[in-house]
Amino acid sequence: MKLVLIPMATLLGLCAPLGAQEEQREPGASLRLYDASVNMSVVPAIAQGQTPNVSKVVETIYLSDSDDDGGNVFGFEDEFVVEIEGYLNAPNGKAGTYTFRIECDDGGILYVRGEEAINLDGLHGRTGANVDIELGAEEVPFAIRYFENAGDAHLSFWWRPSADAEFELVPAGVMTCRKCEVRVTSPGEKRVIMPSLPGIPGDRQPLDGVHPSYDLATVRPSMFKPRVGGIDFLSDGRMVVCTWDPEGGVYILDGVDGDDPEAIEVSRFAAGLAEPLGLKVVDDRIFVLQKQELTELIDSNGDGYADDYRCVSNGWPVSDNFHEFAFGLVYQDGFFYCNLAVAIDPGGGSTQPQVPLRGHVLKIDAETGEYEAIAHGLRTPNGIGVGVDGEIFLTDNQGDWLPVSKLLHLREGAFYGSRAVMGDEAERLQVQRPVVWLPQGEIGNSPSEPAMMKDGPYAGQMLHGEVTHGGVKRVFVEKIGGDYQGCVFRFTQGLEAGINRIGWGPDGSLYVGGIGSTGNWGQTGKKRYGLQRLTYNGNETFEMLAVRAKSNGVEVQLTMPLAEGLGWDPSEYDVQQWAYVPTADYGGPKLMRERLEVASASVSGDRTRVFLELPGMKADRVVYVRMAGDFYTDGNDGLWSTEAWYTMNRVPAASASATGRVVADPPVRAHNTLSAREKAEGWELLFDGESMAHWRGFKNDEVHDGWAIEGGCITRVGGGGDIITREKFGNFELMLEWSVQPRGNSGIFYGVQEGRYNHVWETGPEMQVLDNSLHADGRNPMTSAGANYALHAPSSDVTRPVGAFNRVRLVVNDGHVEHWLNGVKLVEYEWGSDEWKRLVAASKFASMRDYGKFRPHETPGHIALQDHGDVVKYRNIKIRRLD
Amino acid sequence: MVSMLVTQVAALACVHGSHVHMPPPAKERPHDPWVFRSVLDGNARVITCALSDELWVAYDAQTCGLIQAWKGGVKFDGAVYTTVHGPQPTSEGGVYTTAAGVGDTWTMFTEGAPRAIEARYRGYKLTEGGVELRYDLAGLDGSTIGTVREYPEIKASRDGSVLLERRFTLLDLAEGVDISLVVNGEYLREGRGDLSVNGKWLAAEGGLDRIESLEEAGTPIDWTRIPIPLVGGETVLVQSFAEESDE
Repeated sequence: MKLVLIPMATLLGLCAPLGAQEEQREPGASLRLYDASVNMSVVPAIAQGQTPNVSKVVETIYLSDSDDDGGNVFGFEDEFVVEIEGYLNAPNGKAGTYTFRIECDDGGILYVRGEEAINLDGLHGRTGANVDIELGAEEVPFAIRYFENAGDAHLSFWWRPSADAEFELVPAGVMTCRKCEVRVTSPGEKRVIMPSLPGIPGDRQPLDGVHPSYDLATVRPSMFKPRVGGIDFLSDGRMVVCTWDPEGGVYILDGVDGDDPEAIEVSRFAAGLAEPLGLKVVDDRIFVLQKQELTELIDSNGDGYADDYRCVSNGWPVSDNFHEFAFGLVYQDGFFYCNLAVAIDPGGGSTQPQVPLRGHVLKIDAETGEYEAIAHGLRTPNGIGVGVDGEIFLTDNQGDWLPVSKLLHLREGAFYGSRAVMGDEAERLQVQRPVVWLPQGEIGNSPSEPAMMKDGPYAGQMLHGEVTHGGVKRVFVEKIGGDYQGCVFRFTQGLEAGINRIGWGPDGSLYVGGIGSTGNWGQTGKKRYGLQRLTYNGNETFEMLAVRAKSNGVEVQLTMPLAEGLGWDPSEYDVQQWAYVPTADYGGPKLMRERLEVASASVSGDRTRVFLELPGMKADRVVYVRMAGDFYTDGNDGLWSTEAWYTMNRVPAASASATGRVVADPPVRAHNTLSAREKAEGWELLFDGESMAHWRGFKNDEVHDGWAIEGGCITRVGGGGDIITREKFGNFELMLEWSVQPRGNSGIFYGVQEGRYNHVWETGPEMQVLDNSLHADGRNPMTSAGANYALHAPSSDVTRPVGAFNRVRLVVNDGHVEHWLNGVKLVEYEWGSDEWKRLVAASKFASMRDYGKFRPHETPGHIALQDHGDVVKYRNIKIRRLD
Repeated sequence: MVSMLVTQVAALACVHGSHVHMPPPAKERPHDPWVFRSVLDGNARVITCALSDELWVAYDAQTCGLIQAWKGGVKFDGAVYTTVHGPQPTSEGGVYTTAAGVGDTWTMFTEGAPRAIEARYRGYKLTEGGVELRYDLAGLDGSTIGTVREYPEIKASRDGSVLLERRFTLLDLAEGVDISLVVNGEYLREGRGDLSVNGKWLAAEGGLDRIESLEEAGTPIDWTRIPIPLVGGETVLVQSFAEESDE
């Protein structure tokens, strides 16, 4: 979960200001405790303006509610937050590196110099971790943020005064804090701010997993950690990789198509190459592209290792600049192709002057080694590969004269925009437009090798790796006016490193090679090396397959049909356009950005295409299409990714084939009905839009006046209590849609029993229904929409804007429970498991004897809709028995 | 001195662990890989041979000449080595001889007249524990002159000096052509070593004295360009280094 961090300045500013005089110090650490009185699962932030319940200077940090320690922490046992701040000082002025340790139950985070040093956040028993901190003449600011939810509470801060000493509590003196004139406290509950949940992966943010149509495997033994500079295969199936590392190696891997990565045999075929970033096998001959040389590696004595490092081509001009990479490697019709990066200064600007031919594409005769520069104006073109129509494509990375990264088509004589070599003379040259722009941070950052896509419905498109934004992207390409332009989509993440090279194996899998370094040359949170395999598994994934330009808009093609009735509402599409204009500045903004009116949305008869009529669409723009509404298939598959970026270099001229068809009378979606397919699958309506025959009040024979049918919805209009299904259900799958008013709260309960119980929540778990944005419960993931209330937080916030309908899928099957919302599985748990019991024991339900006692497959129960005092609407309620 | 063999194996383990199959090292060398391409000391195309702790040699892989012989090693700095953007590898330690300009160059003599020629780097071959550097020689007009194989190796000495043996094989030499390797002899003038060609030592046999006499007599001597004639077949050039330069 993303944490809301309190800046150190704010943390330190909680102490009353001393005014203009120099800050003084006193021994000890400054501690503040806040009574949160709310269920927590991570360290929250303290809302602005909250006065602590406890504020004092402590000589050591040791908080515990064990009986031996008084049974509480300054009078508090559960649901409190502690913030500690101070400074660490070298003992007796003795500078050195000292080991510190925190132990905590529940979560705690140690900050040193404002940076996170130890993170033990979360719900857990007493846990500890160490960190080494350098202490010298200057005091070192530190802070600890800690929370206790329920159960045992503990926080302690330790250190070793010397390397061979035992840990002891950090004493006052080593810890100092600001000497405050006043320490203000007040009783009562304090407002805390829970970290916000991430949104939906693939919707305005990166994906967080592997594409569902692919199986991922790691294809390196654990001790082999390649920073991959090139991938190819020998005719016998063995893989050859080169590594961008101090060794400059080329490795042969045997068995990469197997199931056990530890069984893969790795041999170092060659070493000592200068930063190899390209490799090609031609008729089982291995060629590698070093920084300044194209080399053939030959095993002349047949011992399995290269002994002959034959220089194929070595003549292009170079300097010693660190950035003069050579990227490759393509072989076609007797020639090798590679890209030369420009020299840059460490700050990122292009070095002046450049040696000739930097930023060029070289075409090298495989036999003679003679080279020819055939295109120019590139900056950091870390990708060259064969794409559609057997043509060669390149990628180039953002920089000066390059607003964002891009994918390019190689044309002899082309100029791609960088003026690093030619300077002002380049102004007269026409710049070849990209196939696709790759908006920075949205879908690109450091694109790498492009290649054809071969699998499933995507065959015929292109892919490229991404070193920093990560993963692999997919590009649909078409020709408009004789030139390639197209659309880029998110494809996959979930890989072990940022991707530098990709290659198709003889087994039909896509092999991806990872890399990473400092300075924006790697994916945050990932390894700096990697070698994995993506194998198409044939599963269908619901997503945009292509976006095609029409004279009057764009046509979106989907991989699977939309559910009946969907797709016709123009308001469910967010379409924008903007332009990029290269300047001497590093990178560039979106210019002339505007939201486009979607005049109409017309769905094809087979529901796989939607034409969006865009009267304001222009050429020389990126047209961004986001499917913002609730889109799903008949099988309730949600979109893998909701966005597409189309580079509209040209708008097609109007013609029968190039003009999109607008359906004049779009159909109106029928709610509260079952399609023929649904009937065949066994679905039953629990609400037909006109009658609440399937419902009654909890412990009441009828539905009271607090619930009414309005606008085809069961609507809570007034007080009167919860309603339940007349029928009890065992295993089931439930679908419905809900909408709440602002700050609205309701819930869907299942496994509900009546009898001696007075409330539905005494027996039944609840899938929370909530306006996350405004209701207080939305600040705590455990009580936010989609949660298994107070027990399981949802994985992300996928709610639609308040007032819009949210689509629920609830599966309860032999104790296995899934909460889905808007096509995303948010919660999954085993009802009755030891883990579930542990969570219940630590929750508010611990005192409810029979909470969760009646699992439906053992004791069928009712489904309930909660009256929580707010307006809530339910429609399209249907159920399928799984017994 | 730590066993170089152990150091090699340890180095390999640090990088990728013992799971990776490697060719067995034929000789002890101070670095793995002991022949490697890189930028070095501001030169873009360099091939370095780590012959021993006492002797590293670097060749310009553009001009095919020795640019430095030194004792020590290489500080591997830069993005691929240390993740720092900007720096490039530099040599460390005491220098025996270094490039005056671009390092060794190649000259052809026809009818006694010197003519500049071009050497084209053709790669190298690891052979029986050593290395074979390969160059093609061509006239500035592109005409083929011949092929050179150079085998640099450290040799044992009796007097404690460091011996760099450079064995040259000339192949397919054009008719009527004499080839010379032009080396930097500054270290000789400074008295920091000697040089032998096919067993005949320059300093030991009074060659330096003769050169100095010429110099004193007014003949300008360019110590940075000492031509070493290479005969057909094999020529063995040995450069002995008594001590490193302070520079």
